[in-house]
Amino acid sequence: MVLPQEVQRKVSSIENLATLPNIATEILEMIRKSNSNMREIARVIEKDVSVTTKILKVSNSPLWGFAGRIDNVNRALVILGLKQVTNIVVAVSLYSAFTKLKPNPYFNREKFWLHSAATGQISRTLSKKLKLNFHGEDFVAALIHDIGKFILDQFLSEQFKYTLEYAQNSGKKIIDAEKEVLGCDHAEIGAWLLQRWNFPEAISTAVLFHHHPEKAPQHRDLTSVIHISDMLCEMWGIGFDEDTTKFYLKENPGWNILRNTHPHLYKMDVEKFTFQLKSDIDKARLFIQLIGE
Amino acid sequence: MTTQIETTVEEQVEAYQPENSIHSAITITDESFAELRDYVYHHSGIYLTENKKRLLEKRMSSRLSTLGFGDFSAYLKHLKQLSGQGKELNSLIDIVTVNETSFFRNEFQLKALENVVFPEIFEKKTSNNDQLFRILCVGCSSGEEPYTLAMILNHRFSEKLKEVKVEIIGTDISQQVVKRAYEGIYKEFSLKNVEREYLQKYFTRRGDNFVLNQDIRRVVHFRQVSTIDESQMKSLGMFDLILCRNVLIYFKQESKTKAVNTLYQILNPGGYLFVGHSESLYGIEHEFRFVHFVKAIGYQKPDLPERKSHREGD
Repeated sequence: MVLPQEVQRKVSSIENLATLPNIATEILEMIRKSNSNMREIARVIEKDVSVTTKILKVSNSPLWGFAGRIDNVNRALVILGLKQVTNIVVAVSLYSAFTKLKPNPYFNREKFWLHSAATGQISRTLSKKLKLNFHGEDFVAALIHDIGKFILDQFLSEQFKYTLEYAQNSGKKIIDAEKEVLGCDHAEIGAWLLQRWNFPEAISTAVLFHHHPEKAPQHRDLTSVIHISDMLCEMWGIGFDEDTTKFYLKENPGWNILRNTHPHLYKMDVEKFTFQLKSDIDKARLFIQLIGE
Repeated sequence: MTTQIETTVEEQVEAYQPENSIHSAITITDESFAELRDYVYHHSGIYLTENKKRLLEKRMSSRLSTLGFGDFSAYLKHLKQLSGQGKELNSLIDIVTVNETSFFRNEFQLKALENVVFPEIFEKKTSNNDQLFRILCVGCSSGEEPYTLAMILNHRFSEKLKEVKVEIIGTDISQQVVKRAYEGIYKEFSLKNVEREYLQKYFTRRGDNFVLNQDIRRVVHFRQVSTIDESQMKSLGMFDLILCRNVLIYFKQESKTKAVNTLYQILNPGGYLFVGHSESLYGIEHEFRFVHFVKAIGYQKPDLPERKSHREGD
């Protein structure tokens, strides 16, 4: 992934941040190598007290229904599984990394995190429904799919503000306006950062193509899940600076990709699925509250 | 950090119930709620979200006691044994949908109409040089829904209305109700969601009553029609938009399918159908495209092929 020089120069100062998600990248790396045992993983997590506290808090919340039964990281790993614990670690470490940055008045952080977490929850539900065998990448990729916007706002705030105004005045889609004004869009910036952070390739690919899953060269199921979850969030009124007011789910390119690989989607009751998402959004609110405390 | 679970004004209204019952609320277990939710969805297409739980407890407790059931699981068993006789199911549906008519019901559907559907139809009319935009409100009872649409159109689209004429037809099976709708006289209760701006612009107070202005009444016509009578429905002509909220939920499968097919036939290509905000066309074979709007869903009749390309959403 190559970014325009000026963008790259500005964004590179983000390297200072890169220490914080270390625990996340370390764990993702350990899982990727798949030769690490649970005990080792637990040891890495336990080094970070704040992350450990939050894992226990989230684990015991109504999101999983094991109230009070999880009192250490090892137990969390056994009960929730490696996948879920990894989700929590990534969410918590990114959240704390980014909340340390100075807030910008034009950027609604609460809305950003709610949108991110809700996209994550919806992705989980959709993957489960489709019996897609992801190992937590769905939640993680969904959670950070718009991270490029956060970066744009932090490091190129004036240009980003102008881009949003330009999109509004010209009636263009924000992502197209970004490309025109900045030479790259938030999906590219996000993917660039995730590559630098050594996130698994599936995740950075899904982030890069989350607006156009049909263009993804691989990991198309994951990318489609993220794309659809993102759109459904918007249709549930918790989008983030997006501009779609009408969405044909069954005719969406991502939906077609998933339907080709999972023909039972043809029979899915999409109305019921839509109504059920309300509980995912409620869960996302709770999740944000727990990791934000 | 905001943690409050968002509820629509409608849900808040629905959750409100005067404490006039002497029965204490019978609690519903998660299992019974899930079972009841699936049963209701299967038989009516209405989906009960979690926040309907309290409403159910509040409103159903006295009914359960009257029928002699101590808990919801016994009631459910009774309900399932009755299958085929829809009377008990219909009372349950009445309770969970809060079957009342008032102005400006369901703000998100109305927003979808105002922000997306109306502008789209006006644009299409203008480019096709078609000067008549027709809306059908099925089962409109005392007329609050068609009049609401007439007010929104008059208030927000006055410029467009100079080029394109709007005609709204409201139907109901009851002659009495249709007559009342035609009169356009309302009590304060049905005006609870009406913004002051609209109230001042379109209503005149007469004692305890509010009388709707002639400008709005002139746009809406009422007909006594049965929704399952195909020839009666077809005699109403063709429409660009049909609202059929919480009507089909009372129909048996066969009549439901028949009614939806008729609605499809009297819609112009590209026209929209809206059902209730928690309602779906579950179990009905149909040709509609399924559409999401912000916090609302709808159905669209496919457009003619040559127009389809530039009308695709994202």
